Amino acid sequence: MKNSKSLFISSTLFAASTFTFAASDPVNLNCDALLDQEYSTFEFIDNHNGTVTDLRTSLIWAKCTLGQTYVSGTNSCSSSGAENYIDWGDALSAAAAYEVNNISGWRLPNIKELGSLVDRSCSAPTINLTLFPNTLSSIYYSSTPFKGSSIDANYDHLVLRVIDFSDGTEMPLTTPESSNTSYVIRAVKGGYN
Amino acid sequence: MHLKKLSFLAVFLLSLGLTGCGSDNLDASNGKNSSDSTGDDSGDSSGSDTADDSDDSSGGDTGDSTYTATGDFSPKIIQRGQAFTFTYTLDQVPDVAVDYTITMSGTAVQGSSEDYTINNASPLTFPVGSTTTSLTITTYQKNDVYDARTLSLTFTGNTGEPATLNLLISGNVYLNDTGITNYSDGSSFDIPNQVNDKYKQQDAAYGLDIIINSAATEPDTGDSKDDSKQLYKNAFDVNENDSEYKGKAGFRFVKIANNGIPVVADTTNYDTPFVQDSNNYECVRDEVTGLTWQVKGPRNIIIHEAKAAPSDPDVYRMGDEKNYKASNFQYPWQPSALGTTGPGWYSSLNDATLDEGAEPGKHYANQACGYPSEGRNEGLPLYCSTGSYTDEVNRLGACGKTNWVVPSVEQLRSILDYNNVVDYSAVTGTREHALDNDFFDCKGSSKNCIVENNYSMECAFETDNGGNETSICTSLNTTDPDPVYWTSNQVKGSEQLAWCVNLQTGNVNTCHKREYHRVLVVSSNVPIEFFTPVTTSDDSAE
Repeated sequence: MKNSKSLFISSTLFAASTFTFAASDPVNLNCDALLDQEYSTFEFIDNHNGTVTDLRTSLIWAKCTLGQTYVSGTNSCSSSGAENYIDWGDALSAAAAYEVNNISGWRLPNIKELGSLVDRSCSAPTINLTLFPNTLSSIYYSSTPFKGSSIDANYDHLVLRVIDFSDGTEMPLTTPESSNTSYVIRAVKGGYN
Repeated sequence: MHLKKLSFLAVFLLSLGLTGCGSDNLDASNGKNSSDSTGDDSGDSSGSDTADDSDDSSGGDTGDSTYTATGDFSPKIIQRGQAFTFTYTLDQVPDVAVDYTITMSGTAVQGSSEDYTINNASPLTFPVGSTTTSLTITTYQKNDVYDARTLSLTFTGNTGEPATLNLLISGNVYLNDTGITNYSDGSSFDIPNQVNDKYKQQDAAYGLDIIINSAATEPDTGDSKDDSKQLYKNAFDVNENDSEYKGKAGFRFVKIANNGIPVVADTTNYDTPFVQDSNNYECVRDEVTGLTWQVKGPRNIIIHEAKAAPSDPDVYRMGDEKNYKASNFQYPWQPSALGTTGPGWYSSLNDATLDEGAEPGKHYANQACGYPSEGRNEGLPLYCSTGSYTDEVNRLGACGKTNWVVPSVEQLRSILDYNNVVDYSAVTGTREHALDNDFFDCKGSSKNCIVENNYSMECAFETDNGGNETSICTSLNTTDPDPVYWTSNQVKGSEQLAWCVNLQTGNVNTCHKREYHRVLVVSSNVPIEFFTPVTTSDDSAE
């Protein structure tokens, strides 16, 4: 019933989702109304400029995944264009260089910030699609390194923490090795003010 | 007809605080009172809420119309900085103005430099010819308010029961930082200073463990220290043996005694259940997130009593009859009375029947967990399950609180210090974990008690040389500590699974609900009436 450590590693790393793109319909068809909703649109301000403010955390989030185009007319995100990053360092610098509507100063979220967008009553993707349309059911990067693995070569490829937004699983990640999913970015700024 | 409305309303108000669902009716009338319209329906007191008022549509009874107002009276949590508009709808067009008096109560303070302002002073009026009216409550950011504040608006018409709208204005709380203060360049992860390349803007360059951490090294690019955040005392101002110590990096914890009173940080005695002692602590309050955590108790060996005859029932008891929160106890996943609903698993205890309360002097335990018999005088189903354990913590009112729940993934994640996660290569057999030892470990036993082995004893009668039977017990302890803790989150599409968190690695995964794991319970600043379990209650508001 336990002894699940090795299982944790394998189940997390290789349980890559077969879902790639979210439904474009922002009605929460991806959510189960019988499960506890972790947040609602009521707790956010949609700034209608490609950013969304989370009143629970004071964080400002990019509405779109990096590479998607923010469409101001529909206040939505293009269904294609999300950039796939295969290197964490490239992802860190890409988030820092992000701009939407001339708004800059972004960064990658840390693992707790990224986790705060997960709504586990939803899946594929496990997020509110009204606030974050066309979120991918893919791996989203965090800025949190995976601390460990100095001793054992079996683990020293584990570099950082990510969340799989197909189902909400969190795990350490190495250089992406799966072609079944993509490795993408949602940028954040602010907090603590 | 009117009486029927009232009886339904009374029933509904009783349940309002518990279920918080749907909308509610409230009647107001102008002109004469409505007693003459109550007779025709007085026999129906079942609370059935399916029939419509037949006179609603008649429109003919001019002069003494009874109006029924409808609105969404489910409790609301308003985040600071947010406005909330309550809309009230009348069932028919009024030919005179219809007034509702609003009385406000709660801990929130009115004023534009305080918690909230309200745009519609009492009374709330439906003007002639208008079937809708509304009021808007605007809330404000305040730097010095940690706790959420309550605001109850009670609407009173000149007939009918008053209806109350419960609002909660959120506290000034944030996400915890991760605890990561070193940088990684993709291979080495213990670099103390900001790496000057594409890895520059990572976790360690941002957040509370820079802003309020006087020991932090400020990055070239990233956040800066901010002494104006005086609410968060700099952790490194004091060492962990200091009475004002609040934790490492960006974490700020305060120990709480079992009566709810904060105690100094160098209090190291873990609470003894049922003993009020201000030198002990049972809970830890997180000043950043506003959450309070019950700390696990030291290990408590479960003893399987010797049987006089093979057919005797199994009797298990706790070595320490009071320590029901022992860190070695394990539970399958089951919803508690507050919050989450869904299918779950439990295991039964000896002595306790499932639907009766325990009796003093009896033992309520099985191989996995146990509960005290002390202070038990009411019926409460007892099982080994996360839900039953949580219900018991609420029954006992641990640290003065009765809104304990199993944490969500994100709540449990909030106290993880990712600087302290255990290397995968070292997890086998280790009891180290990623929570702060100074606050979350029960000092009564060994360090790292929250990642615990299983402890039990199997006893059997043996006949000694003198022919006497004595109970001889054998330890059945495991050496494979379980670092997995339950969360309240169920897995969408897999009702047999729930999310679980490994406190050693920080990984978040799914577990089968019938697996036995540990549980920490959490208390938020959300009052009980704001817990809204999914119900199927039929709401007939028109």
